[in-house]
Amino acid sequence: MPDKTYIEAIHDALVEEMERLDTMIILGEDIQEGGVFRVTDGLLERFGPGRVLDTPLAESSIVGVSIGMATNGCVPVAEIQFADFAYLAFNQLISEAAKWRYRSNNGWGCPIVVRIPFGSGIRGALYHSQSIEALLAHVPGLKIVAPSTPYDAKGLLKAAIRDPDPVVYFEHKKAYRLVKGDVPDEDYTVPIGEAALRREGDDITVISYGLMAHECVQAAEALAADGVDATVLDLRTLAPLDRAAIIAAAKRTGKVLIVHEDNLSVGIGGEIAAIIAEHAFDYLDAPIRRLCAPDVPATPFSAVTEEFCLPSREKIAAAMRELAAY
Amino acid sequence: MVRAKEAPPLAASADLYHAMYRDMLRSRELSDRMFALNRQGRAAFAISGQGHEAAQVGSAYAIKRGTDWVLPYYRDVGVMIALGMSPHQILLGLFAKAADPSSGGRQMPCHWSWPEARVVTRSSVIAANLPHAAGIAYASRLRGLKEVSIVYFGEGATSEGDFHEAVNFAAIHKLPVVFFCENNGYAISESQEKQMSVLHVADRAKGYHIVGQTVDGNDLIAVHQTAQWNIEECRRGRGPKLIEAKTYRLVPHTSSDDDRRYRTRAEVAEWIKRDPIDRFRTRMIEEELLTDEQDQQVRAEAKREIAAAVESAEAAPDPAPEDALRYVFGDRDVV
Amino acid sequence: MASLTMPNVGESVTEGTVTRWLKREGDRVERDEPVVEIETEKVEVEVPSPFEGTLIRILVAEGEVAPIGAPLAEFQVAGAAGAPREVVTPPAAAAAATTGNRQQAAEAPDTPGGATAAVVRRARRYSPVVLKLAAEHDIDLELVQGSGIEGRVTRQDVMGYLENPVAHTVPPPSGSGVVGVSQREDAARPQRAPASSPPPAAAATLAAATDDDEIVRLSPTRRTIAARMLEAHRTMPPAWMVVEADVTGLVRLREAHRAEFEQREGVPLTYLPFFVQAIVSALEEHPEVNATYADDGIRLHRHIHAGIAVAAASGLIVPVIRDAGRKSIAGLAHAIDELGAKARDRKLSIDDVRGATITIDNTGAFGSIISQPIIPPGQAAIVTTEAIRRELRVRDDGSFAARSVMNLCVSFDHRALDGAQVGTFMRAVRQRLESVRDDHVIY
Repeated sequence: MPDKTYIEAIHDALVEEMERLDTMIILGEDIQEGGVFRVTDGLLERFGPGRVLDTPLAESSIVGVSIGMATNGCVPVAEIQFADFAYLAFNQLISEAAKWRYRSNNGWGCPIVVRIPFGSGIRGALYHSQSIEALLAHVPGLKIVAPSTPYDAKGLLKAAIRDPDPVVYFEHKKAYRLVKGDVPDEDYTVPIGEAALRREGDDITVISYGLMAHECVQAAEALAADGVDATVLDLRTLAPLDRAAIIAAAKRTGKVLIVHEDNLSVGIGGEIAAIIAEHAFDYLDAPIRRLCAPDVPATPFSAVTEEFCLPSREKIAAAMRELAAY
Repeated sequence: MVRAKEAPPLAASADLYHAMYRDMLRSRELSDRMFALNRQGRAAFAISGQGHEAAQVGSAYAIKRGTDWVLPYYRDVGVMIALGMSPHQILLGLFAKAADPSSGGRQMPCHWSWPEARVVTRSSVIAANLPHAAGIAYASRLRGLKEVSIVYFGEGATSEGDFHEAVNFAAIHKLPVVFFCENNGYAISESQEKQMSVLHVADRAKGYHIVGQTVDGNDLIAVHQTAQWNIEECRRGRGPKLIEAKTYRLVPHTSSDDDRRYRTRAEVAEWIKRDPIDRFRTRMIEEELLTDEQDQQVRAEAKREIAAAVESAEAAPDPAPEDALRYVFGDRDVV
Repeated sequence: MASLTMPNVGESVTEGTVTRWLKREGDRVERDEPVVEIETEKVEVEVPSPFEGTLIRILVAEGEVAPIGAPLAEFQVAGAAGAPREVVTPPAAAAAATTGNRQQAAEAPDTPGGATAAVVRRARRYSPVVLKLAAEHDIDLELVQGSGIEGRVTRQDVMGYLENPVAHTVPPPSGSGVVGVSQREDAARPQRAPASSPPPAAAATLAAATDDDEIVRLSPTRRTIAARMLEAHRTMPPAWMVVEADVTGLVRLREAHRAEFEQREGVPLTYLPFFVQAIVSALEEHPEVNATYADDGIRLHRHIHAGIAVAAASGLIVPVIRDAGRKSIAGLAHAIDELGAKARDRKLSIDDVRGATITIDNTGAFGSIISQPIIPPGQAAIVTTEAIRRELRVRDDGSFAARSVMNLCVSFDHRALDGAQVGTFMRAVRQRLESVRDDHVIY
């Protein structure tokens, strides 16, 4: 099976789906020249400017126009260049796309995909590093995915494109070229709403997503040598959360560490902790812990402060050790 | 910019004008009735289009039903009547009944959605559906279909960023969208000069290098002809159009609004004199297309129809409480 | 010597390719003069020299790939003109503590009383899963050894206890300890006694097991008794002594007052209060017996708390009469009756069974005339009071008399006490019992 980078997997998914569906349209800023990260390299030449569309610098209408396209039989895959700019499209995502089917009593569906690069650790500073998934995962009617491996990146994007509802697809920009893995050439999907058990162990459970899931697996492998055996659950989908998998993973060890790059408070970690406290209370052997960025507006530009804010493999390992000893 | 200075000649058939007249009357009667039901405590909320009938019915009759895409706003009772939605169906929405075609009682009244007529669902957020119209039109063009999208809004909507983004996008790609503005001079309480520095909404078209026209929105025939021409121009691929129909809202914004706080009774009385339905009646009689007797008859019929619709809609079943949980997603239940 | 490294020229770029060296080995280089061209996925750039000097060695050839930060070439930097460019290593990962949770912990101390009180004694704080398992398997959590922080019993400790109870049983701390319920007065005990290995006796009994044996499951009490007896046996070298006391006077006294006492007090007047009084009084005179042996010194207890052995349905239990010396015969009678009733009704509290400094076992109640009791861990001695017998004795003048006599036995921890000390103590006990006359104060 070929070894591909995360970004190559996303590119492959786009190419394959564009070939499979002649009503699929990719739209966003700078898409035609390949995109600022090169995700859409070569697509213009292959599929033409009608289906590979450079939009004006206007995020609200990127999503709004996509909704219209989907209404009239097309399959739009929009891109918001950085999560930090997605707020301009929040009205279209939250007031319109998320409520489209519900408010029309199933008269209409809204099968759009919005790809959003997110995440920190690349010296992107306050407006090129943010994680916004918690804000959108809170909205009923939106599906939110955040793959951590190239295999999942391709499979989840295909699943998103085929999904009858709006899907926000968060791709971690640091993972683009950093994370490699096996990616089949064939057509396959990864189901939305299903978490993946990356590792199994009886001492502690670590739950994460995105690039941090990758770091958690690495930390767990290192700790295994010291006799701490961890279960690692990669959420993959943030809305709807795979509650059954979360509960089962928590019950197995009774000690749970949740890791995410997004800041601590009122985030995905809090929701997972509530689910576990509610459904696995009698199985808890330690307070549920969260390892996240502090509650600062975003990670700063200076490398020293950026590093201070972010969870890392070392910080994850230290937190895992502490929890195992509790 | 083209202003209709004289009454345009009748170009359509008598039958068509009769149909339009009848629909204006039905729209008016229904609008009045919805407000009355609210004042009687039988409807929680009412919003309607008294005064806009000519602009709404006239333009809607230029739409190719079932082919063209329609995105009306909450005032467009006349548009929906003209497209064929029955008073009974509209009232199901007023009473939030399970069989309400727009939303099954989920949305406030007059938040239209009707897939069989290609009326697209909209929220309460002003101007948010303008980019939808542009996207629909883009898809029409990409798929090689001769469809036109027509999206309706008030003049206040043209202040929103989404108006600008949608018109901009449509203009760049020369999309088949008719942006139809029903300018009644008030966005709730705010008069036009608080919304814009231009004199006419249609003046904005120049900023996008597209065609903008004003039309006397209370002149049914003028509106109909203007709409027809613009829609067909779109269909011929001539790019998006901005139409501004000048009209006047004879009632408060909604049943929750007290318009005495921001305009005089004298002003309203002036505009009642220019009631578009009366104007058209006069014209029809002048052209000998309508007699008093016919007029009485069609009015009586409208009254009867609406009365019966109120009764049948009010008696229709409510949604089940658990219906609130359905249709969050298409493929799975909400947990 | 200084290194020129592969620069980071774009978000998400991790490596670059050297496309062309603009300088050769041995060339002089000015500061900011372009030295090499590199290409990444996103951009092609010329890299200017950060220092003035001589290019000594090229480390990455044209066409080769190197990761961001890797050295590309080595330079001899000219004199004082150029500070050597260090390969900047990012500072070691800052705060090791969980950033988010540090915020949390600072804001929400576990216990009222703030940060200092936050050194929570986790020894008896049981998590939900531990309680659940304990309920499911009828485990007395007080017995389970905790390996979590501050002695916390973890889920895995309970799982381990289920598989191998002895290996995971908490060793009883010294200074206290009563058979029946274990308790910990010093939770912050740095050393633990090593886990005991399975007793050899167990193996023998297992060998004798047959199919028609009925298995009586070990109750928590039985388990505790077994553990503590074994502990005593292993750690305290016992010595043993018996004395005989003539209690004719005591018998007469009791007979005289018994009926009236019972009627007035509502509790029986047995011999036991008199025994307790005599023993406790003798202890006041010989405090070295009211002690505990410890490696750092023998602890002499200021107070005398007498443990009175009771046979309850679940097994031997030893409730404690605190400050027994302060009670009259009547007071002791009441105390003994009350504790006995509580023991039978299983209503003893933790305080009722802890803190004994001496134990008294009235084995005579069963007719025993001599016993060899086991010293409860944490005490230095245990006294048994045997059955009172009517026997012939020879008086000093050679005549015979029928006398009421009884034996008093004592086992003592020979680490803490010698025969002479205990002998003296027992003589004191005997003397007190033998001097009970009709005028003995009951109240």
